[in-house]
Amino acid sequence: MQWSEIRKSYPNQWLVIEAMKSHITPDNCRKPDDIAVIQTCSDGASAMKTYRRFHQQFPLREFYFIHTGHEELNIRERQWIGVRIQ
Amino acid sequence: MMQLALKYNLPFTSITVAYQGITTDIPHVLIDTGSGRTILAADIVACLGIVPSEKDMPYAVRGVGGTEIVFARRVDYVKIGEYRLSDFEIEIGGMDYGFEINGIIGTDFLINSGAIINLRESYIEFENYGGAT
Repeated sequence: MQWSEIRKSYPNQWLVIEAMKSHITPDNCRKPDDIAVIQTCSDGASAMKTYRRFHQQFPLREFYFIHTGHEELNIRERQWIGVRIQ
Repeated sequence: MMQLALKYNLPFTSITVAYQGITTDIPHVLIDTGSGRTILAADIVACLGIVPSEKDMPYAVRGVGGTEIVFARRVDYVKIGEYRLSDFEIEIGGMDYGFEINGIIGTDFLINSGAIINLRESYIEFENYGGAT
């Protein structure tokens, strides 16, 4: 589904979504093209918790926690090497 | 000046964060010159009432270990030792890395504060001490 369709089906709702297909714009924004709704959530904190659970279980899949109040998805991406412990 | 504790051979310290008048002390925070932004663990800052709001557009942070989705929040201040940086934007993420870490102080804080990291004697101090409020 596209984000505009999801907004119609889930107005004013916290969601965990998965981008089945997405592209990255030249200014480093992620634009999900095909989205699946994974779970509806009661608030932002529980949406983030749910996201973390899915992300840990399926680290290669592209999940987001997001409220459908946003007209567009503009997810900025930045690079980070990360912490490596000895 | 603030002591650094070496764990996993990495320099950790404690910080204080204030948000909407509430403060909390956060131990086990990594000093990381390899990170451009400061990030704190969601479970820790939840006690300050920092949770994702409807207006938050998430960010994707991509690294060697994969991608993590975070959100950003401007806090009253972040303080290390006696040095305080006010009106400072942090990122908040799950930080489920499998070892004890509550946050990462990145170069956004370290450069702004003029930090001097002394790994021989394990402390961090701030050149701009008292300069910023």
